[in-house]
Formats: sequence, C-alpha cells, structure tokens
Amino acid sequence: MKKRGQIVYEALVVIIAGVLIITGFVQGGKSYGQQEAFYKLAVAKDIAVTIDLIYALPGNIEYTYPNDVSGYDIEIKNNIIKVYKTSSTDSTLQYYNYVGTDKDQLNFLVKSQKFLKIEKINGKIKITGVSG
Amino acid sequence: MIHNKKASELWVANKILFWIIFGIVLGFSSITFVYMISKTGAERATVYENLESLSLLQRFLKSPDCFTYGNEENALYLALDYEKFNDEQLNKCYSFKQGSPPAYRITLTSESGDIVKSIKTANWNINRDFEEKRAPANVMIRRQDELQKGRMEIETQNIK
Repeated sequence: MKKRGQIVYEALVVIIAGVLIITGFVQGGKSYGQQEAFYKLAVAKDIAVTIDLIYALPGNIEYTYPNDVSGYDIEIKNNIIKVYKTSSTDSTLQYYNYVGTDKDQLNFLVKSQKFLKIEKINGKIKITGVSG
Repeated sequence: MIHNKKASELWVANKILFWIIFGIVLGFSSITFVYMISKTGAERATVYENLESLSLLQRFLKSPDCFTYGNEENALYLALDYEKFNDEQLNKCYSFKQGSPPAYRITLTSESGDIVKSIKTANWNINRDFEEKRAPANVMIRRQDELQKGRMEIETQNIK
C-alpha cells in the first residue's frame, strides 16, 4: 500500500513530464508553423554552400551574407554549421555540413548579429558578425 | 465498488499498462507530428539544381590548395600542377569529419595521351556507379616545367 505522500510525488512527476512534453510539442509546432525552423536550416545551408564555394576561389575574398540572422547564434566548427535561437534552449536547432580543407580548421561562434561577414585571407576563412 | 478502492489504485499512472499505452501513443503522435510539419515549408530550405555539388567541384578546377598551379597570391587559372594531382592532395583540399558530402572521382587526361590518371575522394564508393558525369573541362597541365593541353573529367556520387 502506498502512502499519501508517495501518491502526491508520483502525480507531480507525471504532471511535470506532461508539461515538458506539451511544451516541446508547442515549441516545435510554433517553430515549424512560423517557418522559423526552415529559415534556420536555409541559413545553415546557405552558409555551407558559401564556404564550399569560397574555398574554390583563389585570392582574398570578403562577402557579407545578406539575410538577417539577428536573434540566432551561428556556430561553425568541425565541419558543421549550427543555427539556433539566442539565449534559450532551442528544440529546433538546425545544422548542415560543409567541406573544408586540412590547412584551415574553422571554429567560430557568432552571437545574434544582424549579418555575417565571411572573409578569406591567405587561404584562411574568418567569419564575424556585422551589426545593422 | 469504486468506494472500496484505495486512492493509489484509482491513480491510473500507477499501472504499467498505462505507461505502455502512453509510450505508444506519444511515439506515434511525435512521428506523425514531425512527418506533417516536415512537409510544410521544407522547400524553403532546399538547395536546387545540384548547386552544392557544383560549388564543391569548383575547387578542383580553381583552387591552388587543390591542383591549380601556383599559390594563393599567384594562381594560373585552369592550369593544373601534375605534381599536386594525387589522392593525398585531393583529401587535403576536400576534408570532412562527418556528414555525407558528394563524392568525386577525377580523371585527368593529356591530349598527347601520356597522362591518364584517376583519383577519388575518401568517400567515393567503388561498388557504385557515378550519378553524374560532367562534360570534361579543358585544362592546361604543368608537368616537369612544361605545359600541355588536357582534359579533366569529374564524376559525382551523393549528388546534392
């Protein structure tokens, strides 16, 4: 036979689990419904293709990615570009792979800047944020 | 009679059957949910016209980090350095740790016929045929301080 305290404890666990699941569904639904998740994926793919292409071009290059990425953090590391919402747990984080070169290992984190500046100087890519 | 039951017996979450059904229902709902939403708006993030594969193969033709004769400051456009044309150099200039990027097999042939060499990226599957073969690109091949005409043929797998 279970004690009253035990029953309350179990009920609490079930309620918390339920709230977490519902919150996850709501967050995911909102993100996909407002096309935000697809926007993040499109940004990740755009940046990946841009990096792929920039590695093909000889000489120094500077390019500003023109889509507004304010409100997102963009992490470029280990051949992966991750795009996620700034300062919150993002259940719809999006990522995409790029192909690099052995002599240039990218490791950048751009936090909530409006635009992204991608430069290649002496064969090495540098990615920074550009505010408004 | 319901009045005779203890409160703990009425609490449905105590039953293992409840959790089994709950798990199944939640699993199906999640899958249906993800499937439905992935159909809406996904085209917004689609890269069309094999743009990714096309962007990637440009480096084989134009980058001094791959085969182009010269360095970052002075590169000879569409002139390939035969000394660089090997698997090791290819995998240095086409480097990835994860994901499944397009795979390439590149064949260099000189007009005179004394050069016929094929190299491939680390992810090229020898048990599969190519998915795309592009029209050969006319290039100059620099070998032992001499330039000669040639062609570069690029085949692709995992086209994107």
